[in-house]
Amino acid sequence: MPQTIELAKNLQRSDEATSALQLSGVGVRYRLLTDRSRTLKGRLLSALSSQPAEAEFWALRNVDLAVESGQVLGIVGANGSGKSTMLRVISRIIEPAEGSVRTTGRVTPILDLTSTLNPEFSGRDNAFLFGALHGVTRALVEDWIPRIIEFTELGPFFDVPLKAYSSGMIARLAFALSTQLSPDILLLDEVLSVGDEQFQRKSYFRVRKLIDKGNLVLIVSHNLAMLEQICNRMILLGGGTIVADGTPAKVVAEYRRRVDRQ
Amino acid sequence: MRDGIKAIWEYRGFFAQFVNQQLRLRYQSSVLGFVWTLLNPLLIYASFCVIFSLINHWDLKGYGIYFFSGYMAWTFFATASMMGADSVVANGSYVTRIYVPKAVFPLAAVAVSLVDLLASFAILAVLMLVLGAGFSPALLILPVSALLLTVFVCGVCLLTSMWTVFLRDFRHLLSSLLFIWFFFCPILYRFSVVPSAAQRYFEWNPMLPFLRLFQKPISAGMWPAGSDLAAGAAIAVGTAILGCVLFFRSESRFYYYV
Repeated sequence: MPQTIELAKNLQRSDEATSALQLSGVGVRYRLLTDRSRTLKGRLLSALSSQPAEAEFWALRNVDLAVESGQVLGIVGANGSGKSTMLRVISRIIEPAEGSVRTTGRVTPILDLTSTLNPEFSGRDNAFLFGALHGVTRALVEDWIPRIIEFTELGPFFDVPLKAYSSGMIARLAFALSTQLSPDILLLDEVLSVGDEQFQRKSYFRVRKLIDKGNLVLIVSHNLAMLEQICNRMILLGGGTIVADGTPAKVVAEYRRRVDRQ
Repeated sequence: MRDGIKAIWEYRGFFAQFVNQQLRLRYQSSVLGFVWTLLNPLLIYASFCVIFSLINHWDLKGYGIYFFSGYMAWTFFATASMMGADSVVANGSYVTRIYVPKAVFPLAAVAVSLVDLLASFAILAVLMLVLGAGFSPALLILPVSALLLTVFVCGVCLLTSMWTVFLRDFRHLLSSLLFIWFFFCPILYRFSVVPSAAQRYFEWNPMLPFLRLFQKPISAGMWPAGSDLAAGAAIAVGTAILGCVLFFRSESRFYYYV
């Protein structure tokens, strides 16, 4: 796959700072909360009965992973195998119950495009809030703005509250904002599949550019063909642990074999 | 605790932007904006003022200023605590999607309420001019009073926001608690009318030193007692430390509850 090799070389060449990511023995335990454990009333009631108020399960267990600068790591696995949880642990949204996560460089998670945008505010205000959330200075966000307006084609809508936008407009804005970042460690979760086909084509190149800017990239997706094309390493998750790790071709083949067996 | 404070400091840019937007949301969303947020406490203030001075044959001028001085401190404390209680849950979309020090949200609630407190200082000045009250040099202590109360309120907001995350119905309990607490504070009445046998129990009210730090300079034109300053500082710092310790210890579990 010549394209993959070329991209990998590109990444290594553009590396000045080194980023690294290491997960050792990571385990994440989810609590399944019932109404009982969430309210004072429920707590008092369950103190009187013997039923347990919480159930728990391990979303990730015994995960060891080391990723270096220049690697574009694709993560695949069935639904519920722990892919998104893994990105959340790395981005410090969740603290692991066991083990440790060590990162060198700023982690930029793009897990869910639109949810941190506030519908009450204009595109411009959201740009500043988004920048602040990702540690970008106000002055730099000012620099972004002409490019964002151009890419999103929002025009006068850029200064109107988001609640007046169509869902496509919000997705374009979120996408434009996310791809302005210059991340050290970039975490992408299924964001490549927003918008209609025309927008997807337009956005694909932006994502490629973002990935090129990233020192170290982790991508979760169900799109195996796309992952095979842009990643230089892949892992397969199953039941909260890593079951395969290696070249994209090898891991995709392993994944397909497992799916076929079922 | 040092790590927790360092994390907040690193997110000061986000804090400033977030507070800025919360303020605009609060004051710009309606045409009269600012007026609406002050109208409710002012109406309550005016009705209490008229009714109590009528019933008790108190002098409206003296009572009006006295009541306002305690009421402005109380309103800041009570609205911030309620806003703080909702703050983390209301911003759950941040908590579950990106890393951010969660203490930013209750502290932002305090910052937003602090603007109301500043506005009530302006109203106080107008009120004192209208009622012809004297301006004494003791008013210079008010920035210190406001600072100590703010530190106390920060601690309280960290606690209320945390408890609301774990127990959703805590806010109902809190609003009832604040309602009762208000009547046990010498705000509508003076401390001296409390029966002397009950006074020693009223002294346990943690809001008392803060109220005195506002009431004494504003309505009596006297410097507050050193003991009230010391007690206020101790309660403020103690509550803030307690709030930080408990909040930082549990914020990693917020994700599962928000």
